[in-house]
Amino acid sequence: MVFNSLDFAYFLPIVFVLYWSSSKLGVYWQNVVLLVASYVFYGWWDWRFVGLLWCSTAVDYWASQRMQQSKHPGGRKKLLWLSLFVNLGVLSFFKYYNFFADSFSDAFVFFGQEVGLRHLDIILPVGVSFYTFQSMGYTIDVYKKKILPATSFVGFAVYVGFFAQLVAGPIEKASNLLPQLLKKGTLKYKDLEQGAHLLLWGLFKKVVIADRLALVVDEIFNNAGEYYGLTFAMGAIFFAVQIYCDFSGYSDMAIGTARLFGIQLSKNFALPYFSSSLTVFWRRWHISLFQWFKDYVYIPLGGSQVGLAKQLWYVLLVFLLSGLWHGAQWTFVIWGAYHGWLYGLEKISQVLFKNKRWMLPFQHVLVLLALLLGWVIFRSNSWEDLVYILDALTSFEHYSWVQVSPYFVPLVKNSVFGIDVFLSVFLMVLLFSLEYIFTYQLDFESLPFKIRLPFYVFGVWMIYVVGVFEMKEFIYFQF
Amino acid sequence: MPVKLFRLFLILLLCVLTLGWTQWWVRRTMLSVKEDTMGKINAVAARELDYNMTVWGASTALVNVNPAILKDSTGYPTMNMGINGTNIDQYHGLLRHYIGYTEQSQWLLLVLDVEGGLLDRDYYYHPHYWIHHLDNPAIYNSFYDIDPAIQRLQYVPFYALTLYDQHAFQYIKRALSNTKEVPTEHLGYKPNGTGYYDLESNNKVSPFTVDLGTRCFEKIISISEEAHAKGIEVAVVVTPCFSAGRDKILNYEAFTEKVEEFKQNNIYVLDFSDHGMSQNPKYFVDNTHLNAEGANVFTRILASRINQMTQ
Repeated sequence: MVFNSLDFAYFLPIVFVLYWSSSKLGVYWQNVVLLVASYVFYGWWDWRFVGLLWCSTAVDYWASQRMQQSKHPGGRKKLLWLSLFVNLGVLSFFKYYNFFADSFSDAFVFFGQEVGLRHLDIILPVGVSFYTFQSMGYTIDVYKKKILPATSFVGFAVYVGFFAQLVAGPIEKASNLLPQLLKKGTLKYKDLEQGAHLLLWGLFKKVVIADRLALVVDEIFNNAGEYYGLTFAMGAIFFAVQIYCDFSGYSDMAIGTARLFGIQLSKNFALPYFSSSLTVFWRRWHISLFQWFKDYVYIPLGGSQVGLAKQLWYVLLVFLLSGLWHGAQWTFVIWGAYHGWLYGLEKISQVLFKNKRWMLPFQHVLVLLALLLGWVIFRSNSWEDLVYILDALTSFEHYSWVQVSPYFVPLVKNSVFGIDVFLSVFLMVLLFSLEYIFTYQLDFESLPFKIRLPFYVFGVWMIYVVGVFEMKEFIYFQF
Repeated sequence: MPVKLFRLFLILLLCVLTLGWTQWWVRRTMLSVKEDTMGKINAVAARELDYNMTVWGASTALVNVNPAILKDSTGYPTMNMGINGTNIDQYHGLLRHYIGYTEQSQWLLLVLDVEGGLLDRDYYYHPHYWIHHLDNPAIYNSFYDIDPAIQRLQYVPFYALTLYDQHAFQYIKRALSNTKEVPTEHLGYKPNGTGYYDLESNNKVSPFTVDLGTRCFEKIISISEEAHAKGIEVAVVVTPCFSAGRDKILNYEAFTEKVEEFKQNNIYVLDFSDHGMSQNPKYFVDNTHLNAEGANVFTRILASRINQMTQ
């Protein structure tokens, strides 16, 4: 089930009524409602993988309880390894087996050897990267004695499988979400109002902006051989906005949905494209994932307590892992390496040069250009496409109007894509203006009702009329 | 609390009013279109179109059959009702509606191509052509057969608005800019330019099988029964398929055998899929779509076969 589906439009009010009706019975029954709802939500996509989710939950719950009882550090460590083995095993098998098997086979073929690693027809369970990371984070925290293990299995199962953030985050730390699930929720008007705002805004970003931009982006990147540099430049900008609206739209809807149940999830995006450095960008983009990597990979390795050379190496490692986390594909690994390398370069430049105020606009432009190039790597369908697109983007003749116009003009003027291109540009301007104003200058919720009213009506109207309803899944579901 | 409830009511009321007005306006705009494919569909839905001979099918009817030649040769005023991307699975409701009211009709030519003529669809193609006619039970049923989700129209408020795809914007744009609409031209026929078959591309295509959907097959039979009841003759016309492309179709024999079965229901079967002209790449744009020259050649051959049958 996806948030932008009619099924969810019926599912959510039913769960909402059941959840708040059960509040008289206590927190246990509230959690039972959420757990059943979460498994229905997940099983809607493929019921067989509910078992996998449950196994991951059961193993981590059992391991954390035993950890608490165990007096010996060695025993605690073994339990942690068991949890990591199960979670990473599930992730490796379902997500990476074919990638590594194919890569090994290709490597051996390159050296003239044949190896018999079979390519398996494996379905990637939706959201597996999200819930395994969340669950692993919990056992690591229990192991490090940062938190106490959950006292209720049902509460813990909701923590791992809460439908609002199960399939695409935010990846919640147990210290934030678990305590909220283990105490009785109370219905507050403010929560409902803010939850509804976030749901509406997230849906707007997904169906009106992301999915409309996708019409142009898919055409360009899925038929890469037919286009030239200028078109790819436009495609890169559109994809940058598409993936932002797709993922941050999902996060907004997830946070909004959770608010309807009185649960506060972590913020996952904070105007990342307004960053003046890549360091700031990665603090504002998919915040929960990069916080996870920071807490469970970067800091345990030594973090900023080690020398600059080691720091840079660890940063590169984190970005490589992050690239691989996004998908079992070499383009994602390259994308991770690219950002790791850029991040390191920026760190060195910060040591060498002091930031001047007049440099700020140039920094913004440089960061945006670097990000756009990164998104081209991310979006390319294959290595061959990537090489072609990079060649097109960097060849001067691909920008000569005489050369480009036979390809670019039809895309823009064509009766279908022409509308999508111009509409997309309008929507992008609208999006960033609204997000900037309502983040830095005005608090939307404190505006008088008569000013907010047209926004609500216009938002709903745009979703119906301009929204693309082809039941597109969110991009991050595949990760 | 009453203030908050009143505000919620006001939001809902304004949303309903704006969406209701939009739905009404878009529907009115779409119904007013007289040009191109949407114009043809509108004309039939409004019972404004009635010809002795009508040619039904997808793009291979639209671009392969020139109604002017058919009229000159057979004497029957003819209209090409080809609808791009839409085989009988989607257009049968409109055809059923046409059979219901026609008084002039003597011949229905159901044009199929080998590759997609009997393909059971699992999604609506270009729904914006049809949404404003879904109150017509025959058209609604044809959509329901493809995807029962269409019944959401009945219980989801303003669901119709969500069905318009990006292609609908061009009509709205024209309505907003008051572009003068061109009446239906060329009797519904849309010649496919002067392109030639790309033999090199065909060489790269792997052998494949074509879908022989039972739903399409049954629909042709049920349509023909309704037509026969009104004294209208029905012919299934299989358009030429370029020989090199045809050789890649693994179940071509099964397709032709299936088409032959229509004869058991008193349907004429005119199979040109391996006609001599299908050896000549200069008539084809791809395996099943002819260029304008090919369409004229093919229509003359088709007309002479019809003349033979009617004499």
